[in-house]
Amino acid sequence: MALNPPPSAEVDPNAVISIRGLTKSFGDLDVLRGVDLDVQKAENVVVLGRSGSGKSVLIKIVVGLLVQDAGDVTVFGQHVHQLKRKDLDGMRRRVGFSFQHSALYDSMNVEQNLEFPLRMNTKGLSQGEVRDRIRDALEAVGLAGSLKQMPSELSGGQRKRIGIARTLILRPEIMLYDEPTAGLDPITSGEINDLINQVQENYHTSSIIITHDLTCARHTADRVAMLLDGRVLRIGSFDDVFDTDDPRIKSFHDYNFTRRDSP
Amino acid sequence: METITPTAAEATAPKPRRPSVISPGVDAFAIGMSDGASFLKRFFVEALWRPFHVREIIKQCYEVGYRSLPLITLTGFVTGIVFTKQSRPSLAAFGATSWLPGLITIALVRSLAPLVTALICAGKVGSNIGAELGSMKVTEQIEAMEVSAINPFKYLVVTRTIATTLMVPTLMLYCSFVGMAGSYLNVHGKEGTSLAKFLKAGFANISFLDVESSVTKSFVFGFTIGIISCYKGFNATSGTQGVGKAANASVVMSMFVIFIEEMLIVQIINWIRNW
Amino acid sequence: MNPSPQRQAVIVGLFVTVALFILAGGILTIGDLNDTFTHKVVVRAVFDEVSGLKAGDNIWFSGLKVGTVKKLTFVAGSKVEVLLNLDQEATPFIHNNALAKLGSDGLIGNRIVVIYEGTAEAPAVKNGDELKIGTTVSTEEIMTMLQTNNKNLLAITTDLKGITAKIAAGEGTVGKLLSDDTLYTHVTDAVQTLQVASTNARQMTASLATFSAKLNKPGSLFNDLATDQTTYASLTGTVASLKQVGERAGAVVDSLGRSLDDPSTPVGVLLHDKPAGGDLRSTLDNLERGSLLLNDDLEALQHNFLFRGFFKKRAKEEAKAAAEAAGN
Repeated sequence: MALNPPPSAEVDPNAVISIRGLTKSFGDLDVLRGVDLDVQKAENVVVLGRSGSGKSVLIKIVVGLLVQDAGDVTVFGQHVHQLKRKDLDGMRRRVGFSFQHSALYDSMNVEQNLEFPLRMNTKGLSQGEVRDRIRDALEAVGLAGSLKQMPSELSGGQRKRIGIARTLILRPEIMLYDEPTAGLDPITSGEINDLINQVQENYHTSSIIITHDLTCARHTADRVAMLLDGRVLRIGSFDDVFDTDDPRIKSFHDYNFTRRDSP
Repeated sequence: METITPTAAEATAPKPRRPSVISPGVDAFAIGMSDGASFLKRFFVEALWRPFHVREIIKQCYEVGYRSLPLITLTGFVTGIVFTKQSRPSLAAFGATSWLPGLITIALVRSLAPLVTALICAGKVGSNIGAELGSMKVTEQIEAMEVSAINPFKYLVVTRTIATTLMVPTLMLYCSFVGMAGSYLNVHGKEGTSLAKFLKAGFANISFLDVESSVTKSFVFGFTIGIISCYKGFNATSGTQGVGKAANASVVMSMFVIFIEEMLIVQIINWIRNW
Repeated sequence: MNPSPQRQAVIVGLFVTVALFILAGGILTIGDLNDTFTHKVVVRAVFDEVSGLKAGDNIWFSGLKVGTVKKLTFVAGSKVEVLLNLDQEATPFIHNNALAKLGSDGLIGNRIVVIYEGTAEAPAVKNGDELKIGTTVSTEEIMTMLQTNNKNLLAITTDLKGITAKIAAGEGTVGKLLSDDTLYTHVTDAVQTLQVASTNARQMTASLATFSAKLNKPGSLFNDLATDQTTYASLTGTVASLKQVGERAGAVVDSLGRSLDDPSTPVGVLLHDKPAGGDLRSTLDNLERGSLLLNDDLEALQHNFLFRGFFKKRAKEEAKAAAEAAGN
């Protein structure tokens, strides 16, 4: 498998998400300086990078929350920034986005949080069907009994699960996770990592997982993309990516692992 | 005689490394105006198309209107009583306390009720909307809505603005009614005026145009409160400080614009009256 | 916890309904909308000037509101044509020879149009009729009239003073009084002046009555007080001097009348027998009545008995002289 990023040539026709030469800057700050990345069907790609390296910006551009300065993003073969509102919404229904802070609607209880996107996007569902879909989504994240709780009553891990359940209820083909384990204790983080893998297995989703947590990356990644200085520095399996003498990548790895599993 | 004026070159010479067009303050103001204008335009574009989120509008009407009723009732009642009490000495000096109902009715219907209602709503509802949307913005709930293929502008801004536009006139009517009731209690207690006489004397000097202009004014005020608070909340900058700022700016700017509108509408109404 | 969406919808619905009831109640209580449902009769009146009358001002008839001013337009001769919207129910009682004038309604002094008079024989007003304009007595007019009367009364008293002075100077007997041509002419002149004056006095008392009625209305008094201090000051001055004159004239007329009524006095006898004497008598009566009315309006006059005393003395002397003559 190529360790260097593929050349910025034409779009891979088999890729679900294809990113080419993506640049984005905020004022004087260049966040992305030409990112190339392909995500294949049913594949988990972990994007690793330091805080502030523009990892979140990358997936926000993918769903059209932000607009790139240059470069091209295609999702399901459609150029995202050229989509009309209606088509963009159509694409977004097929993409789930798990926010770093879960972004649950705090004026609604768990059930309403799940019901809201479902009702808004699916016409003519009966009360029973809605209840079934909510139950399925909550079971998928292992939180079947918390329908009436308000988001403020939930723990960080529970909130994360509900956030994921809320995206799963629309049965997405792509999942985008923004820092899924940030701010969680190691045990809960492990549970979330397992959940990400379960979602991939059960729903056959393609995923981009944005994280700086190497444990998370090692558990969930089919491929890892190392994002440094606004570019994808190395891409490949977890071990391949860290099998290098590049001091920047080594220091990233060593902070997480040297003390526990030094060779 | 010579006056020293800067030469054209001096006056217009661009200072090096100045990023703003005129000055940072003026630039920010101009950008704010243009943002506000496009927000306003977006409101009208989005409000015209389905889906209309009727259930959410009703929910917001409940929040904005019904939930503000106790406050408006209290304020209106106190306004009616206090205004009557304060006006009595001036009229008594002319032996004209029989004019109290007329004076109070004119003051309440033409000006006090719409203004008091609008200011109370700007304070209560405006800060509420500003804070709610502001916190939704900084905790990415608005983005979450967007990626769920729900138009947050329609769902949050349009519904709330419609609710305030409908509810402020409604509350204004309650405020007038309660204010009149307060005034009547006071006048009845002091002068022993009967209800029928109070109403007759009160409404003798009110024209349909007065009522109509008050209702129109309240619609404008309601819309102002809704759109400004939503704008401020929707554009909140990140952090808890941003939420506070958004709530505060919603109230301050709503009140400011309400006073300007009051002035303009009074001019227009007088113009119509004399036409 | 919020109530369910259904409950919320019901509450909002009720909330709005009640507000609409308040609105409807308010609008129905407003007078002018009621008016739009009643039928109107439009009549015209052309005023010289309208003192700030506006469209929408009220029209009163016998103190009741019977309509509103519809429109004001200039017509030839810098006059103003006023279109009056009259309520149909009121029109059977307003006859087409009724008069219209400007007035004001109380403290704040809103301009109104007052319709008054009109006789039952004349038909009721109908669309397009023109109402005649009644004259309104303005404060200035009353002032002028008071001043004229004041002058006239002064002239009378001067004339009477002249005559009485001559009588007092004892310039001869009754015969001398009558044979003296100059004196006779003086009397005639005085009588003529008295005639004019008495007419004036009657007019004046009439206007005074109107004026004092106006004065009694707190509204106009307040108005005048507030708007024109000078007018009020000069008015009080005039009234005071008029009162003085009235007192003097009253005294003269009183004594003169008494002596004239008494046929035993030679002046009385002589004047009684002549038509001129009759004239003088009625004139003096008028004047007396007028001045009495004046007295009523301007407080009681003080009576001066000097003259009566003088005539009594004179009568006694004459009787004595006659007795002496008889004795001789």
